[in-house]
Amino acid sequence: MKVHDSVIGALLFAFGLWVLATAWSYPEMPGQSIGPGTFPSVLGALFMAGGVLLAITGLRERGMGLVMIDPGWRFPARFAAAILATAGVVAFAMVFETVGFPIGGFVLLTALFILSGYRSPTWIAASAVFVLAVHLTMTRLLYVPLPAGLLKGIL
Amino acid sequence: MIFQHLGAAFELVLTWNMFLIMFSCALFGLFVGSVPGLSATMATAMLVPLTFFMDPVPAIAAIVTTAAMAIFASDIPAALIRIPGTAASAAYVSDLNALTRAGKVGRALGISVTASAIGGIFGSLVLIFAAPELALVSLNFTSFEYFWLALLGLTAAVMLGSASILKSLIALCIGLMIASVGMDTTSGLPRFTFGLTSLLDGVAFVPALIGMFAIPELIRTFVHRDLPPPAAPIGNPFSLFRGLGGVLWRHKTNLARSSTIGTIIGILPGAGSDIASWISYAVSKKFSKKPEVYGDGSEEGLVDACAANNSALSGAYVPAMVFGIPGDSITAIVIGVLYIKGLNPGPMVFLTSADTIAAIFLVFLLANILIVPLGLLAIGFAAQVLRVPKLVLAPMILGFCIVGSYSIDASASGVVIMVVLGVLAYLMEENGFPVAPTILGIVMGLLVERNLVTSLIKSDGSPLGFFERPIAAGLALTVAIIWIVPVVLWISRRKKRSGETFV
Repeated sequence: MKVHDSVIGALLFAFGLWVLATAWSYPEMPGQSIGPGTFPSVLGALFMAGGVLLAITGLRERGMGLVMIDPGWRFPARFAAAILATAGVVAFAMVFETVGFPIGGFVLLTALFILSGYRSPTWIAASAVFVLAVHLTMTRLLYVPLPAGLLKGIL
Repeated sequence: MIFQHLGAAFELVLTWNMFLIMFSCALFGLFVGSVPGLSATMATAMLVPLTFFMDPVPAIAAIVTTAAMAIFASDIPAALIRIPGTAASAAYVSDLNALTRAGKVGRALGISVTASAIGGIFGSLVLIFAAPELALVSLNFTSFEYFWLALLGLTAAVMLGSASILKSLIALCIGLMIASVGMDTTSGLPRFTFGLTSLLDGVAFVPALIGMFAIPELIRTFVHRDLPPPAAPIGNPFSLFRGLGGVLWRHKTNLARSSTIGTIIGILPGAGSDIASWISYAVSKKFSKKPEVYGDGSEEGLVDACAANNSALSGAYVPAMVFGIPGDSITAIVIGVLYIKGLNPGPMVFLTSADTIAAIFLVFLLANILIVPLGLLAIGFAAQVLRVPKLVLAPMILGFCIVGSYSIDASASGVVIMVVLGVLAYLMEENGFPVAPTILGIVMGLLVERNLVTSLIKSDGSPLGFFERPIAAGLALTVAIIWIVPVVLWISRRKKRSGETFV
């Protein structure tokens, strides 16, 4: 997704302003002219200046819409795959402990395979084998406490 | 200094365990490097969770071997399908492919594999001899020197990239901003945490890294689906060495020059193997007797660029080990790993853990020597690897990313950080903001801020203190020159241009 530089510049300016306002609300250290807000204020000012410069250079360049989207996003399956790989993973993280990696990972991978056009049973089996192999390697060999979730007691 | 620890170092390195780790990481690196779109940095980031469960030396060995192999292996798809496996091969991709089309694929990859190994060994030797000496000097550094050194590193990251300086600077600020999330180190005040307790310790580094390097690639794979062209066949891999000695001997000065350039660029914080190969390729063309064949199958350019990118990989460890300042994005990861291992990079580590440091140096040499036999193997299997579509790998890579970012501190908040920063990185890359300065900002944010605040407290808030010590003043001057020169050049160019339009 390409956004016009002038829009990004404006957003950065607003962000810088927010950072600056937040940093100024932090208390100063007693007897010192500097404090926890010093460094973020510098960054906030840099964001504001950078935003203005970017907006100015952006306004000079014409011939691009405000927002341009890669044609790939128009395919529903690809769009869904990208959303699943991002928002879907965040949702998965929320229930990670209860659902567990084996079941959740298997569902996620199978769905992604299907959305990518790999629909045969081979790929369902492949996700199952992959997730199980990763889970067992991590928990048994490397002692990473990946949650078994719904399969607790079985795995 | 290093030599008296060699005996103990050999004991640490020459074990079956190490051999197994290096061998499997080499295969992993070769695989990732030869799949276009999977970068050496991403391979390293994915490896980090595994290294938590290893001792320091095997952990570093795993990373060094993977990165060295991936940087070499990225030449394979460059030669066969004209797509560089990683950015480090981008400079000479047309030369490699032109040689392939002329039926000299064996020669092309032969040059690539041997020049890579030679450059890598050169860089490792510089690391072995220069790092301990530098460490001795840097024992006298105070927060003023460290502040300027860190600023120099961040400056180099902004100036040396291929993206616009303004966008690189903004990208860097985003990284520094992410680093300032969490409890402030001097006052203990929570900053920018939005009331979330999981952010009190700051944004976890490894999930941030995995997300910023892997998620954009995955989104592009799922959505954009740019499919690579079919691969050119390779004949007998053993034909690789035919006439190779002659080529290398003819270009021995090139080898020496580009290994030196590569190592120096590697040492500069922020600039890594991709920039090293671009610059030494350009230098090579400038001094060549046949500059017209560059881009059209120049063996000379190939020798230069291949040696440079692998030597930069080792050079990058010099500032990382001595100052804790990463030379490129891979060493940024390594520094994170070293901290977790309790092996805090800095001059003291050369005194307190000399055996481990010597062992790590040995690992560098070994990894670069291994490039030749394993590289041959990889070239033989390359055609098969290239047939694996990236789309099939994408869901599995996502699976690894989830496990990796969860296992850092067994918390699902790591997974959320990975996705959020990954989406941010995708949007940044789509709009021409490079991700590498952001990563550097995340790694160095605390270092910059801590040294700035300490220095300001020491000098009672007076900025003069930053210039009173000779090395600090020298570093400050260097930083100033790097910032001022491009501005002056830009203004003079503008004046010239506006003069032309008025005449």
